[in-house]
Amino acid sequence: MPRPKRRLFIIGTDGAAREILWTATQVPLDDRDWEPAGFLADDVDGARGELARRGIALPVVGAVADYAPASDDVFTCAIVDPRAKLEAAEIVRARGGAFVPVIHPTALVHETAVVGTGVIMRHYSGIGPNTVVGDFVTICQSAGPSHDNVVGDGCTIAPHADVMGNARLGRGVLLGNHGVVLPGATVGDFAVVGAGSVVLRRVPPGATVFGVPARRLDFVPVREEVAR
Amino acid sequence: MTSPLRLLILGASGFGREVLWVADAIPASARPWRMAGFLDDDVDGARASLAAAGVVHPVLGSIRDHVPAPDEVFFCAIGGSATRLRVSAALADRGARLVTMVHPSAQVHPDAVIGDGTIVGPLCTVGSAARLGRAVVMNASAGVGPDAVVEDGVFLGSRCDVMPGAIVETGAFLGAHVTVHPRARVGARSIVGIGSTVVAPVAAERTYLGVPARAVGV
Repeated sequence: MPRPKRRLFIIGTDGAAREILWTATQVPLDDRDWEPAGFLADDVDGARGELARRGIALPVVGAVADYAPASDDVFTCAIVDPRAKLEAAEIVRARGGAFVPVIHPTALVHETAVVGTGVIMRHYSGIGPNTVVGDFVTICQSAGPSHDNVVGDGCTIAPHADVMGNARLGRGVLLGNHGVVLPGATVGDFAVVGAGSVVLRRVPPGATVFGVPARRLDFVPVREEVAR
Repeated sequence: MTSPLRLLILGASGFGREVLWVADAIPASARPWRMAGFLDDDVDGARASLAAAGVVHPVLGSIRDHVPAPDEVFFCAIGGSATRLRVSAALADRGARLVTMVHPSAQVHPDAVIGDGTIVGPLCTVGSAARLGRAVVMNASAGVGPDAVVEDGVFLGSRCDVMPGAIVETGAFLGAHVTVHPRARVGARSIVGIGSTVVAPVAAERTYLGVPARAVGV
């Protein structure tokens, strides 16, 4: 017997949003009461053109700033940058928009883990025992926090990144691909941990760190070698 | 009624056995071929090493002397990119059909494009509109992001991430756990060492290492 489906709108229309659409379609029908129905964007016209060029039939139904959620709408926020993700999600939530988890069937969540609203988990990701994950956290493929961690609202954990045990990620942390946060380490609010970096102890709020071990980045790596 | 195609794996080294492992994992309903045997230019050595590894499939002859039959398909399991490309191209010139292998646990977006003779290993990811060329090797859990391009003969070690819109040019070798930043470019036949993070362009034919990856050697 067909159940009425709620309509899932994906916030964002770039490559990341297409990936989350893909993950959403992979969630078994029995595990969701929604169907992907479209996108919200900042630049509605640009987003429509981009999706049309790519042959994606789902519509862009409006702008994040002024879309009025209907009663059967639900949302997921597919923005990578934590600050922009939290901003967009809070705007939609303040208008009464409800967020649903989008969790791939291969993702593993321990029964003691506490998971916030609107979480995205891609294939082969995981959340370990007694870890607390906030709202609008994105955990990419083959990544995730192990046991006894706290992961703040809006964090993005990129592919193959590991948060070991008893670590704490503040609000809106971006942990890059293959980033590793060692046991007991702390990463402050809105800090960025670059790809391939290893956090030993503490990253201050708002800092960008990079390298093995991760150090504060006080310069931007310039284009070298090939340009010469 | 057609009889199934016969798969011949070129090269009976460790990589050849890894390819056999993937081939065995692909359900029969998802492939038009069945494993028939190996070809290796060192026939006796290959027989001995397969026997030692407990592999029951035969070594049917050498690669260089093999004349492809109409019911045969091939996969070139030679780790060195230059050799793999050369042998694959030579076989294709002789009319051989090279197959693509995708492990059933790999997550491949329906819009992605994968070339002939390419292998996508267990737990890999190939994102939306990503393009993989011919004779590419993706080892376990490697990922190629949306709109990224991986050209012919590239080797991606296990857990490599080629991020959205990045380009890895032909024959490049990326060790395990390498990250290539979005829209970065890795030059042809370069080598990027294990665990490196590529943030700036990698020059062709050079070796890079570290986080961030820097050129090493002369």
